[in-house]
Amino acid sequence: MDAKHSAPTEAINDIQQIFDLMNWDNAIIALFIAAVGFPLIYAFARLVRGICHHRVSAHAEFVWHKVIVYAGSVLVIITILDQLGVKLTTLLGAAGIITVALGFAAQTSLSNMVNGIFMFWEKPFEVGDMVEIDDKIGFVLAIDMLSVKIRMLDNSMLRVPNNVIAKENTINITRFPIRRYDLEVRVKVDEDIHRVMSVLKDIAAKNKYSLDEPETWISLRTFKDTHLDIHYGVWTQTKNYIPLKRCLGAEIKARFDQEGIEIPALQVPLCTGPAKQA
Amino acid sequence: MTTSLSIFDLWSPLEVEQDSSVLWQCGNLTLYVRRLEYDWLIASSYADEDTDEMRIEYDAEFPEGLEFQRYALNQDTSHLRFIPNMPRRPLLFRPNHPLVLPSQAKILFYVSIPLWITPVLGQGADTVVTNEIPVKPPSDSWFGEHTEGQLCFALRTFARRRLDAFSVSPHRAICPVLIHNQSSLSLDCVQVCLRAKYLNIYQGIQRLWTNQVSVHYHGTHLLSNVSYATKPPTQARTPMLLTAAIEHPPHNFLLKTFGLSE
Repeated sequence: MDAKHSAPTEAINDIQQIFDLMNWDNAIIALFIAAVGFPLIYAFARLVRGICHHRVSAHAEFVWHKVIVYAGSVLVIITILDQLGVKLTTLLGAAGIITVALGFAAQTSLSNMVNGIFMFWEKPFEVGDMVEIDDKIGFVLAIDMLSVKIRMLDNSMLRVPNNVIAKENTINITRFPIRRYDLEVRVKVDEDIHRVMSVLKDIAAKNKYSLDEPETWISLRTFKDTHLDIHYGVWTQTKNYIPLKRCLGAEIKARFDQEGIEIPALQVPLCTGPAKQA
Repeated sequence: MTTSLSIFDLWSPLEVEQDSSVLWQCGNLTLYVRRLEYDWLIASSYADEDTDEMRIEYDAEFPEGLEFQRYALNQDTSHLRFIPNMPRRPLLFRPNHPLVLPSQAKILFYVSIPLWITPVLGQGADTVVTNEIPVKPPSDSWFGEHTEGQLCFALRTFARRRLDAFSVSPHRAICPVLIHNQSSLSLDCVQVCLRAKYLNIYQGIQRLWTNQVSVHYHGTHLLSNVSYATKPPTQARTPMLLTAAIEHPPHNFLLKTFGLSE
């Protein structure tokens, strides 16, 4: 019976000893630092974000918010530990060992983080930009420590690890204010090339999304036995790229029909041969 | 009822009775305005072919399929006015041939600028300014590098040296542009960018005018000094200010104005 009661009593005694040893003044100060420090950091980060809003890019605003929150939190935690009498040198040593262990265990994640940092400095794109990564097109929703979140055109979300972005060719579709929409127009080899080119020029001039300057690019790309391929490049404001892409093809077809310009179609000659005798 | 019009009658105030309508035409643009109790309905359409026709017609029959915009007013009013405006975006135009201007040469061009029309309802403190509508659907253009530049409207009429090269048109204002090549090299330009938001519109004897723009060119890598005259052009003879500039022009400022031939 005595033995049964001795264990809890010892534990209570141990806790009692810890409480006796604890410097209550320091503990209250540490608690005060935590209670004031964390809300202050969040308030400051929000304030900075508010000041940055519309002054810097959405990406920079997002990154500065994160930097303030993380750096401030680390500072508060160090101050609290120092206040509680924890030796930081020992803690940092332990943290170093843990970091090395974690580094081996989470190589991919760390590589993603490092690439994320490089991406922040290089700024290949920003939040809100339209990008093409690995043949997938969408709008950048968030640039996080490990990955980039992309809203695809069909409104699904694509998560691309920062590693992949570092390795793949990334096209920023909306970086510059104007873009050229290129397409190949195929006409029959016997069409009057100058007339076709002038019709194409007029189609671009009448399209509501096209720009007059820079001039529409029209050139004969390939010359085949049956058809001619014309490189047709129409300039537009970047924001009008998709509306232009959506309507230009139909406009070319309608105008070619009107002008009697033939788009060559695959023709399969059918030969029935001589009629069989019954 | 159709009224026989002079070129300037288009800008005079009109009185529209309740439940009546007005058809107002200036060149390619026709505006359809109907007054209801407190509300006004405004629609627009464009002619297929270019025309200089002018028309103000009360209670005309409106075509079907118009898309009206409704303006709800605090106070009932019968006053309607159409105000000519300059486009807010810069205008990009080409001389009819690439322009080569020798060092220290000074030339005067005339540029014919299509107007934007603003229907204004009411008068005094209760004035309601509605949308600006171009007399001809404008075409977008780009001035500057492919990576950085300015969105403009393309001006499809050429700049001319002679004023009589332009017909008298109710829907255009003539802007005199003086170019002075102050550099030691000849100016070889294919494009000129004109910031129309700094232009006043004046009613002259025969046509509408804007204040003169003077461009002093200093060299390929330098911006040009651009100044906008504060007075109406002398060619307008007895000018009357119709519409003040959208923005007051800075006195003498530096701007990239010329697109040079490559």
